Amino acid sequence: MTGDDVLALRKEWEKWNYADLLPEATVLASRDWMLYVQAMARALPRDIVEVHYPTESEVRWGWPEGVVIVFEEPFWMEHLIISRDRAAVGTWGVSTELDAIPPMVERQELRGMVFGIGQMMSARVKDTNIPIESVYAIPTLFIGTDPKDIISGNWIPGGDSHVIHGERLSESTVFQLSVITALGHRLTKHTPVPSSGRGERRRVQRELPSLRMLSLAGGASVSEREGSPQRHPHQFRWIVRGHWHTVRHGPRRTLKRLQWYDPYVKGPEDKPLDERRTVWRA
Amino acid sequence: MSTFEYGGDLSRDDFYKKAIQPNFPNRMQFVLTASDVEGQTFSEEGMDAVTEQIESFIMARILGTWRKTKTAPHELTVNVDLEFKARSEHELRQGAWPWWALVDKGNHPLDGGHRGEAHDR
Repeated sequence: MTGDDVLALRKEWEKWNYADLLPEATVLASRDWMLYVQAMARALPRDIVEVHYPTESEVRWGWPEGVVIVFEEPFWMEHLIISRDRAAVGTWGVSTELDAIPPMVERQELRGMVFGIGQMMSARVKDTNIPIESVYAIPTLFIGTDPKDIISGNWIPGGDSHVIHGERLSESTVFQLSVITALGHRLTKHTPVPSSGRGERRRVQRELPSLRMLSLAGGASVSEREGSPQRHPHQFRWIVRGHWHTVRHGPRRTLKRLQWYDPYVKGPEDKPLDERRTVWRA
Repeated sequence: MSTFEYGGDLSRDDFYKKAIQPNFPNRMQFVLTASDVEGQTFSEEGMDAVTEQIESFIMARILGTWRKTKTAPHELTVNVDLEFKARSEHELRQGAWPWWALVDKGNHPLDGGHRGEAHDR
């Protein structure tokens, strides 16, 4: 994808009634970066019963006004859906009228993701229609390849999200936690978005000056010593496994959060990242 | 400086009766506030009311000044200094999220999302 493609996609999204919720800040998630985040997501055990979200400062969150993430390549994602628009209203973005439904795993082909501005979110007590103003959360929005198809969720900085009894932690929550962690991670670098020429670069600079690409930094990757003969010149970079750990912190270590421990990328920095060589399971 | 707020306690006639007094100040602030509906600015009715009121104020002050100085005023200067307030994008977006999170009876947030169908703007 080039800068023009991202501009065109944003223009398409701005035709829909969630347009006012789209932050100006936009990043293009490169294929390599997405592989890294997806690998992080796969490393998180799915049988846990609660997710301890990090705070904004713990992940060096740099998007107080929100951010739009465009995925270079769309991919499929499973969500746990607990409510839908009320059929008679059906005007997402205008009304909060919704119908609670039994939890249901549904798939969505994802094109992008939005993090909004941290705010007190209304919450509904399960099995009732009682709304309460209770949760400080950063709202999130998953946008499908069909821009009509939108799924909203949230990140509760410093808080927990519990798995509904009898369900499994949703794939989208795990992915979201990985994105939050990866965005401020030292292995993420911001690079200019590819463009076909000066005209496109100028257009992007004028219409979306904040646009950057998320790429994977080499980190502590290159291990070849100078002068040592290389038996097989590497054609790819690959990820050496990282892992999640529940860290206790705060007064008397009563608080918990999930901390990502670095994997590292190995191989020559100018070579593409190879998914096949990813070593995740011992 | 006094303030006349459209839609406030003072009626247009009451305001005119006060402004025509010889010692009423020449400096006056007119305030117009739009409705709370997001994305809407001042109503036509509100705009008409404010411009009419400014006109009434000028007329009242001409007459009031005449009564005070006992001679007809022969020059009028109007200094216009407009101020606007607009909500920042940040404020607009804050609290605008049209979805309710889910909590259990102990107020613990629960995992899960809301699937909706977007509509044309």
